[in-house]
Amino acid sequence: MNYVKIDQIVCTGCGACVDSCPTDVIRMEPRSRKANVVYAEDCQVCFLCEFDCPVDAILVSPRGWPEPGIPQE
Amino acid sequence: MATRNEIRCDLLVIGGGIAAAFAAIKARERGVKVVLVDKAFFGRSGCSALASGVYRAYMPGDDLEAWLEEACSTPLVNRTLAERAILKTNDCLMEMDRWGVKWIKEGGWIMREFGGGGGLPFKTNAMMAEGGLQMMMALRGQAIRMGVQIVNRVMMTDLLTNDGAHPTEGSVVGAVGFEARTAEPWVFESKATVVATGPYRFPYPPSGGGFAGMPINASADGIAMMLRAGAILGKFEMGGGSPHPHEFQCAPGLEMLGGLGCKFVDAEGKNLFSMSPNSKPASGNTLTQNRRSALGHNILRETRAARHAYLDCTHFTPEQHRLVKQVVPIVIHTFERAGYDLSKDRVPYSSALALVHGGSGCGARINGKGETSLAGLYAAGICSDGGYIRMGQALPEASVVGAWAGESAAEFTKECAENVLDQRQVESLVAKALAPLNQDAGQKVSFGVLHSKLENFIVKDIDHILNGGRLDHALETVGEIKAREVDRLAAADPHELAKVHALKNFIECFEPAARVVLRRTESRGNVLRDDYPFIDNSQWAKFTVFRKEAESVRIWEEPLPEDRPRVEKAKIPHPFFR
Repeated sequence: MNYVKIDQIVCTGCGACVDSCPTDVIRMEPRSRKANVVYAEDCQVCFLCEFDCPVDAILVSPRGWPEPGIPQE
Repeated sequence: MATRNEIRCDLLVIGGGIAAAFAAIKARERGVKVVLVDKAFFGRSGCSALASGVYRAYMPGDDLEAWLEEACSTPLVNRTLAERAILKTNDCLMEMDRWGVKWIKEGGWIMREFGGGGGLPFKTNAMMAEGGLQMMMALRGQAIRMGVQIVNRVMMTDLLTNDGAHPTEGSVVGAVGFEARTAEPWVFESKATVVATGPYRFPYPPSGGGFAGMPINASADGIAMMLRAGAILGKFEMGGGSPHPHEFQCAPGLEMLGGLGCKFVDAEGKNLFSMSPNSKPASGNTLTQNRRSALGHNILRETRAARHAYLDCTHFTPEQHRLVKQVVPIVIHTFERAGYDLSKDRVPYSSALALVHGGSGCGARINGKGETSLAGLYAAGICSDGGYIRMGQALPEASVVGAWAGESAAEFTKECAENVLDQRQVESLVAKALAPLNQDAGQKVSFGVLHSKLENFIVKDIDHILNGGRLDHALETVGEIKAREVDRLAAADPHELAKVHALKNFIECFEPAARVVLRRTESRGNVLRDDYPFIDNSQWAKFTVFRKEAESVRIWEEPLPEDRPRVEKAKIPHPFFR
C-alpha cells in the first residue's frame, strides 16, 4: 500500500522529508534530485514528511493512495 | 570492510527521544563531551515526537500528598523516588519552556488540563502546541545550542565492555553499530553510556489488531543490548499495552482525549467506559489495575464478542475540538484523512495483545541516579524500569530520569580514566552486526518470512488473555526459532539490516519477558491469565528481575522497598473474570 504521495513537479528536492522520516522510507532520487518513496512498506503514516515539507508537495493518507497503473474498482 | 567511523567522547547517549535529550543536555551543562546517536533523525524519531502532546507536571501549590497517593495507587511503586520525581517534573517543564518548547498558555501561564490516565481531582497535564513533534524539535535545538554532537541514522547493536566479555563483570566503555543507509560500521568509545532507546515491542507491526502503534521501528534494541552486556533488567511483569485505534498506527491520544472526558461506547452507542477526570476504575481497587488497563479490559470484552468499542468525543465543545487538534495533531490528522470527523463520528479502538508491548516501561533496573547494575552504564526512559517512579505517563518519567542519568553520568566521567577498547571484541561485534548482509544463499531466512511467522504466533498463541500452557508452547516456539532461524536471518540491504536487528532484539527479550509473566501466578494490571483469574495479594508485592549469566537468563524476585504500604493478604477474583 502507498500511503505517501509526493508531487514530483512541486518537490524542490530540499531533502527535509528525507531527513525527517522516522522509518527512513523516503530517499533522494539521484537523477531527478527529487524525493522518492523507496520503502513504502515501512511507512507508519505519521505525517511528519507532510508537516515538514516546505512546499506542500506531500500528501499522506492512512487509507492509502491507489497504486499507479492498477485499475480501481 | 567498509570505512569504519570512530568517535571518542565522555558520554555516549543512545536514543533520540525526550529521555535522551534531557540526558545529553544535562550532561553538557556539566561541561563534558557528549555524543548523541539516533537510529533515525534526532527530533523526529522515537516515541516522544509522536507522543500524545501532554506533559503531566507538578506545579507549586499542588497537593503533593494527592500526587503521591495517586502515584502509589498503582502496582509496584518506589514511593521515595516517586516524590523526588514528582517535584522534578516542574523543573523539567520550566526548563523546556526556557529552551523554546511551546506550551498552550493563558495570560503567559502554562495551562494544564485533567489527566487522561490518572484520577487526580485537579488539572495536571501541560499541553504542547503542535504536539510532541514541536517539543522534540525544540529539545533538538537546545541540544545543538549546548554543543551536543549529533549522529543521525546510526543504529547501535552492542555495548563494549572493559573486559571484552558479554555478559561482563566489568564496566561499559562504548558501543558499536552501523549507518542505517550504508552499513558503514561505527565504533564509539565513551567513559559512560546512557541507553534511552524506547520500549520493548514487536517491531514493524501490522496496522490495528491489537499491536502497538508508532513508532513501528521501536523494538527492544537498547534493552537487548543491555541484556547481552549483563545488566539487571526488570518490570516486565505488568505488561503495558493500552487501547489503540483499531485501524491505524497512531498514538491512542488518550492522555489528551481522556482528560477532556472522552467516552468509549459500543456499536449501539451505549456507554462502556467514561474517561471523565474523577472516575475511578470499575473495580474500585486501583492496585489491581489503573484506569488505562480497566479501559483496555472493557474494550477487550467487546473484541472477544467480535464487536468493536468506539472512541466517542461527539460531546466535546468546538473549543475542545480545536484544542485537541492543536495538541495531538498526528492523531486528529489520521482520523480526518481516514474520513472520521470527531465532532460527529466514533472511531473503532481495540485492546492490546499481551506481552508484545512495554508501554509502561520495562528494561534496565535503575536507581535514582539512572545507574544500572553495570558501571559506566545508565538508562532512562521506557527502556528502563524508570526506578519504579510511576508517574502515570511516560514523558515526565522519561525526562526526569533522563536528567538524573545525564547529571550523574557526567560526574562519573570526570573521575574516569581513558578506556582502552578490546579490539577483538570490537571486531567480533562489528562482524556480528553486519553478518545478516552476508548470509550463505542456501541458509538464508528472510525478514518477511520470520516476521509473519512471529506475527501469526503472537496473535494465536499469545493472544490478549494469557494462559500458562499456551505461554509454555510460545516459549518452545520462540526457543526453536532462536536455535534454528535467528542466526540465519538475512538482510537484502542496509535498510533491512536495521529491521533484522530490531526483530532479533525483540526475540531475545521475549523469552525472559514471558518467563517473568509465567512466574507471577495471578492476574493484575494489563496481565490477564485465565489459568489464574484472581488477584493474589500475598504474591504480588515483589520486583521480578533477571540477568543474563553465561548462556542462560537467571530470574529472581526482590522485595519492595520498606516505604511501600503493604496490602492485605487475600486472593480476590480479577474484575475481568467476574
